[in-house]
Amino acid sequence: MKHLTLIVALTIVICISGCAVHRPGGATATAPATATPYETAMMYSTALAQTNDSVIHAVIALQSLQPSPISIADAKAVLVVQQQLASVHMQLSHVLEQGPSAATGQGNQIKTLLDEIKGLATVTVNTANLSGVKDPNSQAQLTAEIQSIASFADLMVTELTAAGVLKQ
Amino acid sequence: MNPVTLEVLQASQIIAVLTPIALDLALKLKAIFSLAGSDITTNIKNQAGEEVQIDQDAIDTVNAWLKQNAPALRNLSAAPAKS
Repeated sequence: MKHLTLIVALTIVICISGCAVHRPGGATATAPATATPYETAMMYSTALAQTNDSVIHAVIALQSLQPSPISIADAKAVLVVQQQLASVHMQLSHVLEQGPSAATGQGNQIKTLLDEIKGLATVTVNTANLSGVKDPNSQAQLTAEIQSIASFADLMVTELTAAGVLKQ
Repeated sequence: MNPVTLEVLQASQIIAVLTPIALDLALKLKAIFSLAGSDITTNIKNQAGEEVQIDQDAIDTVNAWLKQNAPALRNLSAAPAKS
């Protein structure tokens, strides 16, 4: 009798654990869904905005140091361009938030805004203002961050083309 | 203060300023890309809204800085240009 109870108990334990492992839908419910190209473009867009915001905060923080590694004139020149970039990106976000179907009809506007963003990022990197940063490490880091803004814009073009929003 | 000490102090200040910003960005990117596993379709509007907030913060931050530094910037534009 004692052995029978033990066998029944073990059978119940095996059944329960087996059911838990092979629970239907358990694996698919937790499997990550793949982002569509449009969704990926949205993620790059958010990364672009955050990078730009970080650059602005970094320039202000550097300018506030005593002695400051960047002059107030150079800081202003960089900040004004990055502010303009934020403004253009905000327009882009308003178009993209309408979703892929609505955005498809505004492909030309999206491309123009992305080109403008890339142009503004390039302006900051190429002009002498950033080279006014006296600390080489800070200068390199800021340059890399601003270049990544242009890279995010390029990645958005790739994903939005794959999504059919932009024409090849 | 000794010039070398001053340079070391400034370098450490710069690292202190830039490191949290870089780290913050990395963490934010990680958070954004971790969304790839969830239902992003429903979040497009929310994500765009978040972007607009970030852009607005960028615009407001620069405006506040320009306002705060207005006297120094005025002096700058009034100063004769160097040849």
